[in-house]
Amino acid sequence: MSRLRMIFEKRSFACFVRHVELPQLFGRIARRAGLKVALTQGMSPHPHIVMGPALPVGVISLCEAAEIWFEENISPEEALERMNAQAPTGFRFLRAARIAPDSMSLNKCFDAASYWLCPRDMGRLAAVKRVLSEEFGAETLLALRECADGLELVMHDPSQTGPGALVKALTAREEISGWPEICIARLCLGRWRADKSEITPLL
Amino acid sequence: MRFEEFDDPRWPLIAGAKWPSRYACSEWGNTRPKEKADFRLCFCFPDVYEVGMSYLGFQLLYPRTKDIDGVDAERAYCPWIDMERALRAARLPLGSVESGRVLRDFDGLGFTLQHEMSFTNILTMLDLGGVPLLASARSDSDPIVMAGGPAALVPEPMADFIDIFCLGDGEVVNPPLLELLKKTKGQPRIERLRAAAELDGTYVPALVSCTYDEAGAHFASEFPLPRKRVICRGMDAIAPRNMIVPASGIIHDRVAVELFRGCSRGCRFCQAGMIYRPVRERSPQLVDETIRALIRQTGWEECSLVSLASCDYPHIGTLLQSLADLHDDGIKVSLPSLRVDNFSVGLAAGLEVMKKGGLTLAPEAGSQRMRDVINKGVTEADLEAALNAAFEHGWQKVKLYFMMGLPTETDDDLRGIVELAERAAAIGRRRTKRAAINVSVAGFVPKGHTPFQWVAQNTREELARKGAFMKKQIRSRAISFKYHESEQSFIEGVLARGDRRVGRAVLEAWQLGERFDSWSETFSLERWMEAFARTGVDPVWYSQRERAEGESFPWDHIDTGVSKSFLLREYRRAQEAKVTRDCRSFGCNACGWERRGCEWSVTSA
Repeated sequence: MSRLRMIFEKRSFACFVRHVELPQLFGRIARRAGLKVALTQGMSPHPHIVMGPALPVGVISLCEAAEIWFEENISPEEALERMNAQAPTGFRFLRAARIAPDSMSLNKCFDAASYWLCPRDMGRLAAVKRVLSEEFGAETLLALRECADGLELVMHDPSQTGPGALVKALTAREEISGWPEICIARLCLGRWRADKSEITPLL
Repeated sequence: MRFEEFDDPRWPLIAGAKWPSRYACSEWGNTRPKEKADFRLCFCFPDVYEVGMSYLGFQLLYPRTKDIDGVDAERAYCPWIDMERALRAARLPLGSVESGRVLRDFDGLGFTLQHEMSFTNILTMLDLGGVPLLASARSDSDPIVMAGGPAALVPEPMADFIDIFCLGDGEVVNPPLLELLKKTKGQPRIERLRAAAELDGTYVPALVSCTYDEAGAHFASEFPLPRKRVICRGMDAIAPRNMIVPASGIIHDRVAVELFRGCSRGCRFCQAGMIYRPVRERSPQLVDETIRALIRQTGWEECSLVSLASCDYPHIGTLLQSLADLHDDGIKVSLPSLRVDNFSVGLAAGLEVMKKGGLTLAPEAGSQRMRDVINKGVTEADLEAALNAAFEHGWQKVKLYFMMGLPTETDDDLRGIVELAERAAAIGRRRTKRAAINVSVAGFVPKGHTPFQWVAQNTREELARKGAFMKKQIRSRAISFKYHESEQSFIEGVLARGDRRVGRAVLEAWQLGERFDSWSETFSLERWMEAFARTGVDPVWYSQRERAEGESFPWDHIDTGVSKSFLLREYRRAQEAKVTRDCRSFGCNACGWERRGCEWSVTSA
């Protein structure tokens, strides 16, 4: 058995595929790749795949995380190659690492995620930035800065707070009317290093 | 934008849609468009993506089309009403899943007419795709609009909008047609249509005129009539080697492999049972191989053994046994429908997927007399055995499907439905306190090319009375009794036996805003009635009139292979409640196919 942690990107229209559907999708990719995913123990065994923090539909990502328990011993490199050869449009596995079966669960291995965000109406960028800094305290919004083409920000605890909360706040304050008026990408997932003001990526 | 996908003008539309994943276009399979192609065909499914991707026909025809030299295939689906509104507001056209290529930029469009309630969606897709709605308004540079599927065999209501109807199995009809259209590209439209009309399995309505009198509809053409449906005789030669797998879930999210085409049971209400004859079986070895190959290629964790009556496949038991090892790899096997008998329920009991949720049986009618009228070869003993078996095997919920408004029906026959439901509940209660019987009764819609093509459809008032009549007699609390909204069946009935004049009402209804007629949330009877009134079409005349035996029907110029004299014979036997037994077990019934090389009529002769 090999427990592999994999980082994948969700680009283009594939970001409209719902997060809850991904375990099934990865099971199918693995089957096409000729890899057997181990089954969970218990009453109703299902493929042992653990997903990282949920990503709302419509947000693209460069850093989604998943762990897959393969029945065979397989090297991370080989898994990447074989899975990528069978991945549908918009999905690509970027990095993989073998994890000891008894080591800490995936969702305890990160506490922050960074995002790029830009309203469709660039004229609202400053207002959006102001609203976000007003709506989210420093313990949630770890960093927020303007860059050439939008905003970059870091949020604490991506399992609890993410793009959904940002869009909700901006909509409530009437900076945007909803998802169609904002573009968001998740850039990095990992541990927040307050001393360096940056995220150490998961992989 | 830093990420170029956000620059796509469709992005904000999808982000604002009610169900974005149906527009995600993320798929696995051989879908990359060819760089160069002389003829680009877009398969168009007139419903949303997750419905259209569940349709086996396009999965079968798509790779075969791409295999033709110089021809390429893409696909398009009908946007839901919110997306249609958004596309119009943004002035964006409808394009294909593969490349976004706009429908008007294809050389041909291939619609499937799976049922009448998708007709208005075809107009939506043409309009959003920039293609003139009326065939007569299309220029040489517009795509050739083709349509196949069961409703293409009763084509007149859509005749104004379709250039070429394809009659029969696409595996046989399409290749010569596409070759011809590829070769004649650039030539005047009318010449290409004339050439297409010479081919087997095509019907070009622009070249066939029709007139009407008291005796019915009459067709005239310089091309020979009737137009014949063509079939593929060897199922083993057309087994699929690959399928397209969507990244997001669809309705039928699994491998589907056909066991056979056609059905010989001869249920008199069933259009599929008549228009897909004769029965053509696939060998069990090839079914087994195909399933294994497709599971490897698609990664799907479930496969379904499909046909019109899978329990009738003579090798079904051994096939399921030979597939049993798939279970070790977590692959589940399912059957789409069950025959009402002990054997079939026993088969289903061995299948994990089927054990989840309820068991569905379709006795179709409550009394034995009524089942004999419709030639549903199910006896009281079969029913009893099936119900007993279901609860013995551990099912707690059994769904029973019936029809009401069948020809010769009396209140006694309706009481039969109630009694059958009560009996099912009693059988269930003997086994478990949690036994639940879900009864669903739908209004019968008479269809062309069936023995009931002559009968009057019940009015909505009659059906409402019948439904309420049954519901108030239900006693057992284990029974949940539902009968269906008959407004949609009424319109379906008009379109199912309509002539060319009905097309005007289809266009008018669409212009009034009618969309997705098979979805109750978008269907509007008022809009349809307004459309009928504006176009002078009397819907009652089409659906609720008993037709004379000698009437010429507006689908008589389409020859499915089953003769009108056989259908009439069956209609008369129905009126006498006489059963006609399955020709494959009890000898040929001379449906018409015996003259065209039906292997079963040979063996039984």
